Amino acid sequence: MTLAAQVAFKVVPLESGAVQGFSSGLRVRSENYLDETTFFVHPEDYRALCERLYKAGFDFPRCLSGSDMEFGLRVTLHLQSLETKTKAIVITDLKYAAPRVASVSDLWGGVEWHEREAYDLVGITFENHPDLRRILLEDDWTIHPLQRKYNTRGYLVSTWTEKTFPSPAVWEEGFVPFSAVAAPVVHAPKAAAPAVGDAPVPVAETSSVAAPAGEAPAKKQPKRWIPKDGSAPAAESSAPVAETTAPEPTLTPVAAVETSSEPASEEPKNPKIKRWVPKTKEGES
Amino acid sequence: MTAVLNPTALETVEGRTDEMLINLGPQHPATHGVLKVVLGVDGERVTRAIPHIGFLHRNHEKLEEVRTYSMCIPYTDRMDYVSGMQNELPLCLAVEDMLGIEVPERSKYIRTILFELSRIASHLVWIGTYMLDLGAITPFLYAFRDREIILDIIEKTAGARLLPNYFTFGGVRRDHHPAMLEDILEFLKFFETKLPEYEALTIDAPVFQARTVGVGVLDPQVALNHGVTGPNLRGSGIPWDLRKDEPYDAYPFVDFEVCVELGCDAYSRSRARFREFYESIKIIRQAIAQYPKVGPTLPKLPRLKPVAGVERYRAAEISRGQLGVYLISDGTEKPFRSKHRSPSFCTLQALQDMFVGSKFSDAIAILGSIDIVLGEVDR
Repeated sequence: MTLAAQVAFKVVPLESGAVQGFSSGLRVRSENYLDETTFFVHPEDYRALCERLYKAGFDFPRCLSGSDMEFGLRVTLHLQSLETKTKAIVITDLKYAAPRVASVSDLWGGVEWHEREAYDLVGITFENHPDLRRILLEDDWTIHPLQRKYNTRGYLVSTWTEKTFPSPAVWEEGFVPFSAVAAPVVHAPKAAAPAVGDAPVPVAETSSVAAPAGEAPAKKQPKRWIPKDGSAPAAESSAPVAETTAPEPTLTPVAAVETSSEPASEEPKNPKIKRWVPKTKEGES
Repeated sequence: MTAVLNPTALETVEGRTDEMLINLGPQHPATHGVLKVVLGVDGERVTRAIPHIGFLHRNHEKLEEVRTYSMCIPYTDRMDYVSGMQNELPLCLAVEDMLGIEVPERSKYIRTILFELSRIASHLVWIGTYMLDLGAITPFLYAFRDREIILDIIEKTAGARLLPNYFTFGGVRRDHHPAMLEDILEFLKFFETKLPEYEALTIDAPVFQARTVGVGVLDPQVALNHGVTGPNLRGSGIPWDLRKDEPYDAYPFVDFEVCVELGCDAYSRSRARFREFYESIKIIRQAIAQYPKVGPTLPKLPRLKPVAGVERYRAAEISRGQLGVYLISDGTEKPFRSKHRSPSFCTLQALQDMFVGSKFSDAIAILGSIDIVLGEVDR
């Protein structure tokens, strides 16, 4: 059994039309790979997209990870729907200067500790989190050890420099995230993935979830779930399912190259000069 | 000890007293490791339960960033030391996905057989320690007697008992012991005669039922929302098993049943876990019957350097639930980021919902029923 056949066993991917319904009005790029749909979202729209996904039936939080990408910090949220087994990945990139994003732990309770862990180890602040304390390390620990500027012993790495590619300024312009530029789907196996692309039945169902405002799509919603706040974003997502021509930004790295003239790093970086770093643990600024 | 008044939690309780905080752990033997739970107690009732974790934190994720993919496998053994072999699989699956490695048929079956054998061993530890928590000593001795046979089988094949380091990318590290399959069949024959004994001692015993029925109720919505997986979720009536829903290795070729119980309490969780003994035996029997006698165990591997920017999340259904591994590659032979989503970590988030409102004396019965391993929680 090949990998593609194995993955496509029971799983239906989100269709691209439905994906555009999710992303309308938000700064989101999406791509399909095998059974998963990945959303690259602007940090300010992260919470709104998560609310839409929650209302569309993604009721199980698989994982939330924070990671240091060397041009900023990244939050990756893996979601799954229990009924359709559809998977979604939400990725948002944060600048080093402002590593904060809205918490989604009120939507999925299982994300709460993962967010605490991301705060503890990576240093991402989740706003409106009910209890944002360190979880694995001591409360008085000074550094966030999973940041790439620290080595495994907790000391600052003298050669570490912040990468300027892609520049954080891309967010203001075209918002071309790292993965879309570098290597979107290179890890596809040799056999062409049959899961992506044509799945006629789930298309209609999934888009019908995103389409009507709030109360109508009771069919596809998980039965036991009552959304805690039946608020705004459902109405927003209703409109654009029809107009599938919503302009998705292209996958070309043009915007990244053009706008990378505004790096976030202030200090001059001369590779010949190595900063001397004292052999003591440095605190977080 | 300070008495802290928590008006919001106590308003609805009749005849309330001042809330008292009691530490459960970290040195309590029933926490199965080093877990500290601060229990707020109002008389006999638990009003809140705040878990404190991290006593066993080793930060494997940072250590794996400076090691190659192959060197990461032993670290996964040490997360869940009760079923070490199962922990290696998600990492292998993720790396195989990233590199497009095809696992040979024979290795798939070896993995499946040993995976299920580890599940039996792990559930035996659970049954022994849980009954010990509840005050029965005999099942503990029986369980460890039988687990010893499994560990011997694993030792013959992998060379180590608890931390085997046997699965690898593309299959298994070396061929199994020539007598492994016969040993396993012999063990299953022996173990099947013992299962009614276990059943009578545990889930059919009136004392056990009195201690667990209706205790630690975990609502299905809450369980799902909190990311609870494995037998704990299936004990709440949700039939979700990755072996069925996203089958890996040889699971598509074997026939088994997902053990679901509808009671949502500690008894249902125990029952769901106990019924997995029978399903594991069924799976192993079928896998041995279908086992291809000849063939390679490892394919020709490419260089273990996934393309830069590739990321993959894969999960497998280990004894405690879904163990997931999230890998990001930067084009080198070392993982740029590796995150482990451990099932016990997620299950502990629902602890508060199970504890609040229950009797203080039921705390240990609840804690044992969710079957946590602290090495995996703290990583």
